[in-house]
Amino acid sequence: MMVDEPRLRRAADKSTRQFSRLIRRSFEERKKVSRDTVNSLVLRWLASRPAAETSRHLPRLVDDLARRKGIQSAWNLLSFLEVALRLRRPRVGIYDHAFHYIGGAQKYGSTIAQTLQDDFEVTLLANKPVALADLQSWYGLDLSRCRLKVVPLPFFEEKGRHPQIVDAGEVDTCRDENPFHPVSRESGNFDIFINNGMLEMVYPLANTSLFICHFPERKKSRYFYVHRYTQIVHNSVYTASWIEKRWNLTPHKHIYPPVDMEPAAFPLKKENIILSVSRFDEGGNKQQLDMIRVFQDLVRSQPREMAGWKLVLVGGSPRHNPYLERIRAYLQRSAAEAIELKVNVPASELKSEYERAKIFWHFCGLGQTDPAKVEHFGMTVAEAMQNGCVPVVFRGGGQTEIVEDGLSGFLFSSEKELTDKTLGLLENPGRLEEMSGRAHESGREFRREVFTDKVRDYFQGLLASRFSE
Amino acid sequence: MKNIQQIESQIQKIKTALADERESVEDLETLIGQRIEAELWGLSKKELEKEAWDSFYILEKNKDCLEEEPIVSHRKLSGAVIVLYKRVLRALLRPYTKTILARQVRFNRELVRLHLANILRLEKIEERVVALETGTPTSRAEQG
Repeated sequence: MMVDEPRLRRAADKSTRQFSRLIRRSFEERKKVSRDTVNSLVLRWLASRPAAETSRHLPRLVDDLARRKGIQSAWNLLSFLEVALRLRRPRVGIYDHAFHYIGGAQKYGSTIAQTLQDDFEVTLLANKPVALADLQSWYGLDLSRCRLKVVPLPFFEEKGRHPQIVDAGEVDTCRDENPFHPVSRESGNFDIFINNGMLEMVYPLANTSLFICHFPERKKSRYFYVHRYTQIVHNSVYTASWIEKRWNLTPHKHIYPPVDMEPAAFPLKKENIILSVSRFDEGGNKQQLDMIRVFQDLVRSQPREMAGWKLVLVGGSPRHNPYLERIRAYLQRSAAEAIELKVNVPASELKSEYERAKIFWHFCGLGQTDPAKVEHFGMTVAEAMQNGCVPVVFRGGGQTEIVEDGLSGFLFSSEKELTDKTLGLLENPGRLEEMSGRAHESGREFRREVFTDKVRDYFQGLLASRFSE
Repeated sequence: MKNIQQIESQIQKIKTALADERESVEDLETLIGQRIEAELWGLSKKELEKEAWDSFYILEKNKDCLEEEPIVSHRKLSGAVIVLYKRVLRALLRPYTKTILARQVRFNRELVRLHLANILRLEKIEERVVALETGTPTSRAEQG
């Protein structure tokens, strides 16, 4: 049964005694009264009635709420009042179980932290030790007004588990207790809790909670709580479509990741380079080896057009990487002079490669049937475009949202299509230059300023709508 | 808003009192005052089995609604009077409520039994399906 909200509102305006009686009865009778409704009604009552009256009834009301709906509800009501009455700045907690690793999703969360730190009290929540200074240097951010708190998870500290990885896939949902409850508890200390790590097993306790989804990696389980979040934020239309398919949930807000690889000046002096930038995935998911083979076939079949062109493969890799070893061995065997391999290069060198390259190749997703292995957004594609590299990338995932086929670059579905479109560009330098300009313009749509503006507007909107009557 | 400082100090006072109590609660479900229920749609077979048994044990535990919960009051002074009043009222109404609740208890028991029978029956059917799929012969007695 739903609570009679209009009656409660009238009571809040007219009579403390009646309001107090009605709202407490609504807790007792277990009527369907949402946390948001209780919060806004109490705020209305505090604003309407004399302080002498409200101060007498508030402790009893909070006490009743704690007994009937749990202590956290009472805590949330008081926190809500503090923010709504402007007694303090709202507290934001941004959780990511992989903050101790460099990654696109972690850059997303850290950039949100930087954007909000002046208007909110921002705390970054990690599971493994990491320093704010690390995050600042990895992503070129200023997080000086943020705090960092490490919430250890005993389950992942057990002997025999990987010391650095928090992998929800290791949890047996039928046998193990939910190991993420310490984070769920911590979420209750904030007015706005942001789950940036896509960990669907964290139950949010804050008044407002946001689930940032970079891709719905796992299927629903017994510990699935994404539907408990106030809103779901997604990084691309591709991700949104999979949230609907896999979880049957409709995401609320779309914000593309921040991409900040813009050169100081444009146009740039370009060289005959086809560039690829992506992690050397141990499973070979980014398909650099296929790229090398396609490039070599092109050189063999079109020696005149390909004369003077080289393929540069840049990417990060762990020290022992069998896939990278395979690439190295292959290059040695085939004596490929026009192919350069650059592993774990500093940011300045990466920038320089982007500035020099004319064309950008990205194979990730080609021939894949698993949607998680297709690029969910395609950060490096946007970085290349900001530098005027013409992207020739796989038609799938988030890449179709970044590249307008035939305008700011090309999309391909097969190796044949890739070689045809690349050759088309090499044979027509005028078109290449024209497309380079368009790619630069399109790439600018993903720059950090656009991201921070969207984040700021979104959170101001949340504050206005969620922390008022 | 009037007397904002007064409200602020009162909120702080209540929060301070609540903070210790909140810290002492270890269980998440106690903290939020409700059971954290899993959404059944989309769960795997193993997870659904676990959920079915969990729910069954809760039903089994609560089937006897004649069991009376203790009457308590959190109020300091008037609490004793309220408790006494409720106890007397409960004693006076017991003959009438018992008649109704006894029927409810019978109904609950049968329902719990029915659920258990269905869960066990389902398990037997699953075993048979697995046996048929793998080609393991099953006896007539097992099938029956």
